Amino acid sequence: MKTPSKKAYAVTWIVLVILHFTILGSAYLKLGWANTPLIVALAFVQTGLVLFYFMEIRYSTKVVRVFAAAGFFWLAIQFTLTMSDYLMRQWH
Amino acid sequence: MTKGNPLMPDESSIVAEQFDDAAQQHETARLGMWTFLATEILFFGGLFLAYDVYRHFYFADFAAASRHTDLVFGTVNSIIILTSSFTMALAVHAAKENYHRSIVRWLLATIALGTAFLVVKGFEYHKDITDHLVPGPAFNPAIPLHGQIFFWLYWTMTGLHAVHLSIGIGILSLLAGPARKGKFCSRYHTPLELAGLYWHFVDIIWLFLYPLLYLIQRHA
Repeated sequence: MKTPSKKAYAVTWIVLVILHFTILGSAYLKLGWANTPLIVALAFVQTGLVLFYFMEIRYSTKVVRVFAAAGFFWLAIQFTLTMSDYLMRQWH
Repeated sequence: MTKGNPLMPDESSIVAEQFDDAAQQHETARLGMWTFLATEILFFGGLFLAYDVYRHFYFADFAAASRHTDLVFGTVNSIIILTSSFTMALAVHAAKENYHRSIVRWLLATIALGTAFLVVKGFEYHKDITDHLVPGPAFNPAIPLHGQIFFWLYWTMTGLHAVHLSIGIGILSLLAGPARKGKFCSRYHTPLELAGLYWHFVDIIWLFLYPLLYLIQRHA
């Protein structure tokens, strides 16, 4: 199985740290409602980097990728169904 | 492949009888680990969902409470845990490249960084307690009422995260011995890789805890 090089790990780490300070900095921008979506989106980018390189999803077989996606998929269902209830309760 | 070389075990000594070969056994172990991690995602997911619902209802209180978290401790710990994921990846990489001494070195670095995270968290918890951020009768009166829900989630989520990190440190410590004896190599490093997956998962949880707990309306 192909694996990432040491350099790929180092670049991933540096990008993760840069993204971290981008998240911290963006929290101080006055973006109104857009603050949270921006910060969470950047956290997802970080997660993607950890998944793809550190956890080697990029180099994994399809079945491993499906198993890895399954947890996030069910979590998305849980969030969508729960929040579609709570968000709509205020629509009187 | 030289038989009898302890650093390079031959296939029959590492493959259990139900598997065709080492590759199939390795793939099965990875699938099992990802299945476990899916349950962990849903386990923490329930708490993130509770956070989401309460934050939706009591946003102003959550924002006011969030500003009482210590951003310096939180940020330092983020850098520590991101770096620990890097050293963990290097430990697994060293095994794949047969750099036996590097495996132990990177494992010890990861254990040290994990421990440093817990020490920093300990100092942070101490400050949180003296600042009266524990929900209950002595809760800081400067924070609005539902800020208590925020801090209930803060203690539960960071506490469970710390428990997971402690377990990770324990697992890596158990692997350091076999690693020193040269048990892991390019042909056999499954325990190391699975421990790595767990370690990176704990890192990912923190990647969401940090912005959601420390960074609500910091600009206000």
